[in-house]
Amino acid sequence: MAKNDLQGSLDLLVLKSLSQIGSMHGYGIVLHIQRASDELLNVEEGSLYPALHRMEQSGWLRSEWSLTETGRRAKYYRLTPAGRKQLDEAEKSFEQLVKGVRAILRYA
Amino acid sequence: MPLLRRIANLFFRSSVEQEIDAELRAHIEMRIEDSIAAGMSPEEARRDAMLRFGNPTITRERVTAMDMSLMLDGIYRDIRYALRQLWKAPGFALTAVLTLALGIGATSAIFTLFDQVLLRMLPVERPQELVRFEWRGSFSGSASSFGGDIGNYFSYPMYKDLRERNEVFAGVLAAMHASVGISWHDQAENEEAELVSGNYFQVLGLKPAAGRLFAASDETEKNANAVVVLSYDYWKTRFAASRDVVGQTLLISGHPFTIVGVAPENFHTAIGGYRPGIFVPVTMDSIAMPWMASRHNLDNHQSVWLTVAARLKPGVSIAQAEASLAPLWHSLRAEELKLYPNASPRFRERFLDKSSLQVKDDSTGFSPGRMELKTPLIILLSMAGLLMAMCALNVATLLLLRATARAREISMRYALGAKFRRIASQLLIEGCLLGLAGAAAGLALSPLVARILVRLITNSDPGSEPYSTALDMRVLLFTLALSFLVSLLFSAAPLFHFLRPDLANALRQNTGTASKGSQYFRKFAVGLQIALSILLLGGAGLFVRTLDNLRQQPVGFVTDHLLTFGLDPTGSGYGDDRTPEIVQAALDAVRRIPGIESAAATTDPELVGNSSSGGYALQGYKPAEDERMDFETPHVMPGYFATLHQPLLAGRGFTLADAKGGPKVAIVNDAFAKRYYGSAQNALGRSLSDSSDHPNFDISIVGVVGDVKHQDLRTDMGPAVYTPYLQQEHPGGVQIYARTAQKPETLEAALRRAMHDLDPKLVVDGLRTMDTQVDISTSNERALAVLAISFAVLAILLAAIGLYGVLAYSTQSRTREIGVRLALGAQRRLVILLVIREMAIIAAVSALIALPSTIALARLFRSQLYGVTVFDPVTLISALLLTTLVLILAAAVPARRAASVNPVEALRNE
Repeated sequence: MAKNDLQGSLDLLVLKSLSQIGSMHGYGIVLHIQRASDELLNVEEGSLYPALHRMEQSGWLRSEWSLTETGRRAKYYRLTPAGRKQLDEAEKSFEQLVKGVRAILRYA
Repeated sequence: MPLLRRIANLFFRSSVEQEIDAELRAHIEMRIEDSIAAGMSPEEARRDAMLRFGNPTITRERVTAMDMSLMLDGIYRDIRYALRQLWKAPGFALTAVLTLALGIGATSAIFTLFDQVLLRMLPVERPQELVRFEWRGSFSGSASSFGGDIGNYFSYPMYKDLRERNEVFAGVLAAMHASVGISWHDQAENEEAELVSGNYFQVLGLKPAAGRLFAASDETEKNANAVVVLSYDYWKTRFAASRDVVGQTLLISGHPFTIVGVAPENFHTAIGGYRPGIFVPVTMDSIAMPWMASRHNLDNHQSVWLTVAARLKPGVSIAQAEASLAPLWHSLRAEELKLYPNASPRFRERFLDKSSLQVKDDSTGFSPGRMELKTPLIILLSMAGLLMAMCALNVATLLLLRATARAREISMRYALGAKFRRIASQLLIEGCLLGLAGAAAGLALSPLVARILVRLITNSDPGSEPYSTALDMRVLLFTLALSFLVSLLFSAAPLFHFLRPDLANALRQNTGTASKGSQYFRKFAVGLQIALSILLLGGAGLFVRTLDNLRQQPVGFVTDHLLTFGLDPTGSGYGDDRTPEIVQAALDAVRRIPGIESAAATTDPELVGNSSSGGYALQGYKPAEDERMDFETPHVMPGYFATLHQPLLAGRGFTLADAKGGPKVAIVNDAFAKRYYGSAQNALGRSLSDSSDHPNFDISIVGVVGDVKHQDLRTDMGPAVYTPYLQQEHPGGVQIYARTAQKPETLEAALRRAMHDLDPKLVVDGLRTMDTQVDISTSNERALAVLAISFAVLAILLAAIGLYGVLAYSTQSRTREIGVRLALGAQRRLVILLVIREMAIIAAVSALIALPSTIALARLFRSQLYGVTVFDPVTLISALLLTTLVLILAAAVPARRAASVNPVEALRNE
């Protein structure tokens, strides 16, 4: 339970996005989250980067510079095996969080 | 440290920040592009993008902070991990640290000296503005030199002209090295001094530690400035740093001088290479140094004796100063030329037109000692560098060994997703920790080594070393930089090992194996070290044999039970007329001391490197053209030969009757008698003359004595003519010898007391036993031997550690194989052979290479050897045997371990 804070959910969104689209830069991750959530989730774009860097230092992500479709240089992130493991755990604990919150909402 | 910060930035902060910037910019620009494509105007798109992104500066700061803190955290964790790893392998850690400590200690000790002699600037205000004068051109007159070329020295009138008639200097100072007798509260001693111009301290920009320093008013006219400034060290040791001494009087060469102040703490001299205890105005030269009086230095253009230095005016370059001085120099020389009325045109040309004044950088101070020490120091520092390299090589070998043993652990970390960078930083941090520990231990060692070194190469007594041996900031920084560099180098060795790890293989095997390349490297390193230690041991052996041979030399007189000291009444205020009677009184006083059998004196001391020669003409002997008729000419007191036990071969010795007014007599040595008269007996009664231009042959030979070693133990004295001290016009100071019945050391105090009772102003200079003097005279040989032995011991230690490392490794990695062999019935003896065979071959090959190299190198040093050939079998065989012995000891532990492998356990472990 302890890990289920807001930061945890941003991590989850990023990890999940990368697991779905493979390798992507920060801007692309923002776009993906918007699109995949039917524009429901709007990440503050700047706050994404400290999270990306932290996850990279923790060994969950690996990054490299390469060119976008429009020929611009951007830093692309991809999941490492450790990141994949982390995603599993984060998904599980998020499910529990959702279950717990639902249970409280339904209690009456 | 701006450079260091820039480097750090290069590696950390700025590169990280640039990358973050680029990443964030890319994001914002992609958003703008998309918005424009969707139909927004560029300004609108930018505003929208910024709004969505938030404050980019704050974001960048947050991202940077995240990266930095994580990186620091990583380093911290690496350090803790490394400490744990080292703690778990104390044998390895200790060996590595000790190895490094040896190398770093030796190198930083030599650097301590190197820095002071060659690199450091004078501790004065803006030393980079200081320059020194040197002149070229012919010269005729007298010179008094502290070392170096005569062109380093100037006459006093010339100095004053240069000081007053230039436009490019803020000040011009002059100084001269001197040695004087100082007497304070009835305690007399000899002390180094510096005669300085009145503006000396002002030009250098120094402030007094107590009282005042000299001013221009302290350099007025001859003998008028009886004031003295103490050096800080002398003030501390001799006057207990008491401020009350300012205003008191001390005697210099028997004359009263008023102490006016104390020089600042770290300042020693502008000349360098020695440490004067006192400073005296240059106008007092003939009082402080009576033997200089006859030269009339203060108005004599033809006596050069002063070192001249100057401070450039701000903005003036050395080239400008030199150019502006050229016309002044020319006109001053033109005036001086008038002193040579009979000068030939050739002399005029060389004196005037070919003469020049040169201005040299003097920020490190003028030091004749520097010229003498430069080459030995460079050689020493290179040797230390070589030693350091060997230490680093050994630690690299040990680290490689360890890395191989850790191959599994590291491969595991790779497999779990660790990056090469992380593993590299881990290994580098481990290496740097070892390096730091080695540096700390080395720094503890360094002052001890430096002290021995200074005593050895400057041949100084304990307590009066001319160079400091304490650690300071510069040495500290040098050592840290050195250890850091070395750490990087030896940590890099195992890195290459893991650059492209063969994961599958390393994981499958239980014990890792090193790559072929690194094994060759290791064996080559050990072979090289074995060869080097044989080489150095051989060299050390030759030097030791040389020293031994020199000490076994018959010197021609008996050195034990003999005390000696210098006594110079002229340094205590006595003139030529009274000096002989003081010497005689001193000898009588010495003879009265119980335990002293006899005493005598000479003007030409034995075995101190001294030589004073003079020309004689022989009656009935016509010298060939160009034949030098110069002989060693000691003036001795009666009883001299009897006191030294120098055998009298014919005739008689001197008596008190051989004094002024009596018939002139001489005693020659055997070499003289044999060369000119065929035999000792034949020489008696022959006549000599001390003037070859108008020989009157008024000196008759009354005796012949045996030959002695005079200057040093290597050289024979050659033909010599002894004459009575009491018949000399200018008798001067003497060296006194006293033959004792008991141990000579026990009489030193009584002897000092006797001299003090006779006259407290008299200085007993360098009182020591003759055996000590013989030691001192062989100090160069001893220094060479000690240094060679030290380096040889270090080299052989390193070779032993290296050999141990290689054998321990191969035993460890072959445990299983050995187990199998033992299980199949192999004998333990054969197992040992298996382990050491290869290294034995390598050692043998190294020896085969080292022996001829030793001989070849020794040939280069042949001039330093005495009584021993470069092929000396005793030395070479001893070097080989000693090396073999140490290597066997080093190999014993791993060999035993191999032999004691328990086959059951070895096989079960797999």
